[in-house]
Amino acid sequence: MIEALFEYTFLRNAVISSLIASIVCGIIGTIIVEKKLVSMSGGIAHTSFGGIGLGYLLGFEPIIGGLIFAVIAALGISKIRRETKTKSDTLIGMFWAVGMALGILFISMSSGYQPDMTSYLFGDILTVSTSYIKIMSLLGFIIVLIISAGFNYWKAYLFDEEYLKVMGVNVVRLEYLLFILVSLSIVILIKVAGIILAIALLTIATAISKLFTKDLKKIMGLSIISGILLSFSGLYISYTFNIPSGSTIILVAVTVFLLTSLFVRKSKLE
Amino acid sequence: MYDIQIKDLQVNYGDVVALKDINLNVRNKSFLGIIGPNGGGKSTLFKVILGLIKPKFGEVKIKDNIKLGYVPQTTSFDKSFPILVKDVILMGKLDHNFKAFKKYSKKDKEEAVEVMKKLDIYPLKNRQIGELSGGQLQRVLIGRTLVNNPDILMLDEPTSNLDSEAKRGIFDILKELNKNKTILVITHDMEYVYKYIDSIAFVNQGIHYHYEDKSITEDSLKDVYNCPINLLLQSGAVLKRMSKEGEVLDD
Repeated sequence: MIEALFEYTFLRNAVISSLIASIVCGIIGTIIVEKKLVSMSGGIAHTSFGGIGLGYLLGFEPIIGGLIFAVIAALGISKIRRETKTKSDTLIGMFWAVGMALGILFISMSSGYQPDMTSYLFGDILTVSTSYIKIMSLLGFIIVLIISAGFNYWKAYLFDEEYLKVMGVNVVRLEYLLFILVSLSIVILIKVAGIILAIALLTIATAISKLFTKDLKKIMGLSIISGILLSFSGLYISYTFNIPSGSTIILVAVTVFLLTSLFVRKSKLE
Repeated sequence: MYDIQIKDLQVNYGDVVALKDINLNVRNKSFLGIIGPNGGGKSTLFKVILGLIKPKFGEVKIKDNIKLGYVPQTTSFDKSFPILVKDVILMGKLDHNFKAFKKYSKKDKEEAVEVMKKLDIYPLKNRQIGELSGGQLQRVLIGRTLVNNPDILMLDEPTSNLDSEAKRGIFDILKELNKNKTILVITHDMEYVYKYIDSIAFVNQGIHYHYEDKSITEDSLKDVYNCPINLLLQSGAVLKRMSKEGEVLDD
């Protein structure tokens, strides 16, 4: 595979994109796990399918449509919840289903060639183009920059939002910003793991890291490292056996999580 | 001039009146205990003072150049969150105006160490907060506020779910801090607090305020509310009736 890596652009792109995805997942994944935003993120991811469909229908880059829909979903859920006091759980469910429904509708309406949507639903890391790598790098850079610039604020926000509010910090602004970052990460992950599998990628590396440390920054760091190792080994296995990459990465990751947690629990008992 | 002056205050949540006709003056360096049934508006009163909720009528005046410190209930956050004791303390040092790449200064860190030593939690500085006892966690929360050196310290049920020794420990700390700070404490632990406070306010939509200068005892409270304090606090229904009688007594 190593020689092939130098030979084929698509393989090189696959490796680079899984690297970026791992960094993003390590940071944003840790945040959504700690802030209990996992189902919220699932909702955002599925709503973005509507935008992808719209892109096909109107003939613009589907991933841009996905990005717009993801951001609208994130801000919409947050705002409606704030103003109507509807449980965010209910809203997430609605956005989730409406996004998927719109996506299917738009695609069926688009004339002529019906695109194969499985690469958006389940990801296809081997089809990541060089221009997509550029978008991913830019979004990834924005995420890393914003989180590291305000790390102490983010940590305080995730831990005790109420107290930060008392201190006079604009918590609503932080929440909107965070939701936008979650949307950006999901768009990054769509090509790598797909809408349906993105959540697993966001959460598993964090779940593994949490077994080893109780410091937020270390959880993020460890998640990035384990994310890279897991996605590379998943990629290797999928390449070798010619099986779907997104599924392979996730199954490898879950297996490692199960084994590690058993091991950690056993060593704690002893 | 009082530290806090509240005049004819009313707070509504939609159509529900949470607080009504609240008049309260808090003296400098007083130790005010705030009691009342759950849902009676005690925490709302704190939030109005902190400026988190806008009153419908009336006003809250805080003396100029005075810093408020707030210690929330321990239920407002997740104890399993991966944060260490020292980081919680330092959180108090965050500037409310966002500064990019702001690191805590050496002075911030020294002050945090000082506060932790004062509260006997310095040896726990690298513990994750879920690994603390209730009393230790409460000290950490007090420390987070104290690191800003507030003039007024407001605590929302700091001793709930603590054993009696830890309760006394917390109130002893507050008494010590009371030497140069005004303390407002919401509590259900009357059997402990009456030894420490110098004034008491009973909040149940309305307010009954007593400033009896050290003469507060469990018995005097019993007299005011006409029944044992514990019973009083356990039953909101009893409280409502009692507060009506309290009104008569007050007049």
